[in-house]
Amino acid sequence: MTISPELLAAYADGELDELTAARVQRAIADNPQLARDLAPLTELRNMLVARFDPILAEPMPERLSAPIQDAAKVVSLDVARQARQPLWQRPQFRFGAGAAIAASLMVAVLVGGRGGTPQGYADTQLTAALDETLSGQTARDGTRLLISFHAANGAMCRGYAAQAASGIACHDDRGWKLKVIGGSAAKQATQYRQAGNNDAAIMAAVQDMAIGPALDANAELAARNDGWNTKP
Amino acid sequence: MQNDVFLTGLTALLPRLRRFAAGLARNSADADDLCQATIERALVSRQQWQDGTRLDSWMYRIMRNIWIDTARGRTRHDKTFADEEAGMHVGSMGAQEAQVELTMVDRALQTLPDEQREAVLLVLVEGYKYAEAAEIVGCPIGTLTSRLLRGREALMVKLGEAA
Repeated sequence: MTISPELLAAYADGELDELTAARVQRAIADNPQLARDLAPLTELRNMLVARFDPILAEPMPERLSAPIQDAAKVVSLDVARQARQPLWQRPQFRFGAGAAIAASLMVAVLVGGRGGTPQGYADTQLTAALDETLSGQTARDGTRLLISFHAANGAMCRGYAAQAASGIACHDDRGWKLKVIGGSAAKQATQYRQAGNNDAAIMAAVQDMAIGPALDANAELAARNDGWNTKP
Repeated sequence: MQNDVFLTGLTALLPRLRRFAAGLARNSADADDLCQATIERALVSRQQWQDGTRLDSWMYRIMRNIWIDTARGRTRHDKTFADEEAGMHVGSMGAQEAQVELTMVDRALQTLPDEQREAVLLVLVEGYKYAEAAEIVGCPIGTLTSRLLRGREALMVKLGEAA
């Protein structure tokens, strides 16, 4: 039986069915060269495992575990339906991180109507992203859609993150009205971090506005087909 | 309930995600940045995850996509030195060489094209089956196995036929 390098590698990786594995095993027993070819494959795996497995036992940096612990409070719209207090009285805004988030959001609309869109409404490009793109996906212009939910007045709203600005827009008969505008992605953080910071700020603002759970993928698809006029 | 399943699962996956990030990123600070960005993206996109499907593959895919998305910004300043040093330390397995040995593995990995590196890490370090690794990367299984084969051969040469 001829053993190709692919077959020998698959044998080393435990990818073969029993019958084929047994055949390869016999071939190796008959052919010392195959045994010599197999050894480095095993050695390489051992070297990689020896390099990376110790990481599993390292103490977890707080910046990695903390976001998950905070998540139940900050992100879950289902759980955190506690009494509505004014923004500045909420516990999360009395501490450093919360204050920074609050400062980075302007709860006022200051985007002028470019290209003929009404004052305070999404421009043509953003409107296209909000109309067409589902949450978790990125629109052609680079805008990432984060979440869809209903606000207290029954309007469909969507959180989004774009290169120029992030925010929340709510649908009415004139288009997508901009409710909360975050700053553009700050340059002080590393590439990886920028997106996360803005997203967290938007999600905190979503929590303040939403009256129910976020729409799941199916409900969102239905809302899109309905022209974003779906009521809660 | 779904919330608990998701967050508990995410916490349990953290050490493995950190290990995968360490293999992908250039240094440990970048690795933890990548890991943190992955966690935040996952928390924001959590409604995209279907309860009952595999959370680990979903998380690995997010990390891998963020890494690929930011790949254009990365430089490869280590690459120039890797071949020479790998050649110098062939066969050194003594205890005092352990530190050098670890550096060699890192540097050898850094010389691989991205798609070969992720294939090697997913199968050989993270222990995924070929089909699972292909699904995480989003390529056909044959593509995955050929990347794995080429990556593995390059590493064995760089690391002196596995010492």
